[in-house]
Amino acid sequence: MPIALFRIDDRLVHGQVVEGWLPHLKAVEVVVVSDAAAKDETQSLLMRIALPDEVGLKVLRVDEAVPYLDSCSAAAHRVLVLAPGPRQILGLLERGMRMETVNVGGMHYSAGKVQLGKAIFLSDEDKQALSEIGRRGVRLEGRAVPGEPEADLLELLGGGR
Amino acid sequence: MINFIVVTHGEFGAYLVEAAEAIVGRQTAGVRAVSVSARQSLAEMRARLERTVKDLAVGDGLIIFTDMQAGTPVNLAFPAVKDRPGAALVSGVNLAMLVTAFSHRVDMALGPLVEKVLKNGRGAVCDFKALVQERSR
Repeated sequence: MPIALFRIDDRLVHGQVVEGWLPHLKAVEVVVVSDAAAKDETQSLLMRIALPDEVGLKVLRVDEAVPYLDSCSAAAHRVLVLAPGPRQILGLLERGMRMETVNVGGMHYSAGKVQLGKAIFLSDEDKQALSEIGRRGVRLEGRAVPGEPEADLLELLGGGR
Repeated sequence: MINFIVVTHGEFGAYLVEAAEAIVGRQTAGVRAVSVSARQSLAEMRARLERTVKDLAVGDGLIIFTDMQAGTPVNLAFPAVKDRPGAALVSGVNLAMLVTAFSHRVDMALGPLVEKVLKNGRGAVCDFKALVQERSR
């Protein structure tokens, strides 16, 4: 399986990803799925600098990401997919992408959001998007770093499958 | 497994451990922070560090980190490691060093881990704005 992990993390490439997930997954390519990041050269450059030289980086719009990730399924190397929120993951699913599990690593606080885990704060829109992802049969596990226990987010959301 | 003690002026070390754990996960055992404070006598602090070293110098090795090359943390820590072959003392601790140390405390031996910690710790120090400008050219 070439996609080692789908992860929702609004900080995208940061310490937990570089020091925790990449070595844990032995992933050698990071694909960031975000329309906003795809047109932000500075953000792409900072992500490039943060990653080890031997790790590849693609920053793609949601619509570009689907064919690219499909082509990755034939590749021999392991890919880590990062999305800033559940809407991008939903965008992949709506375009026919298949996945079993999504890791929810960081959805950080902003006003009006409710807390579901240590680093998971959700707006009503986030909750709807996550529930919709769950309704499509995708497991949602909350975990900031690999060593932590997984939290079943659909159960915490109260909706479930 | 390698153990660690972070000896710093004030509570810097405890917060540094907390920050490194947020990045690579909680360390359940074998990591301690010892603070140097004006509210404690040198003798008390030395006794506390010696007890901590005795507790943690039991695994595959121990690294004591101190914040600076000069200062009370190093003055206290050096006597505690000088006759212990399995204990290293590394000064100038930063977050990159602790993250590296926590990540490789199981899969690396003391000597190579010290080298890696030093390399990554030094690598984290740079003129970041100049680096970005150079990379964007």
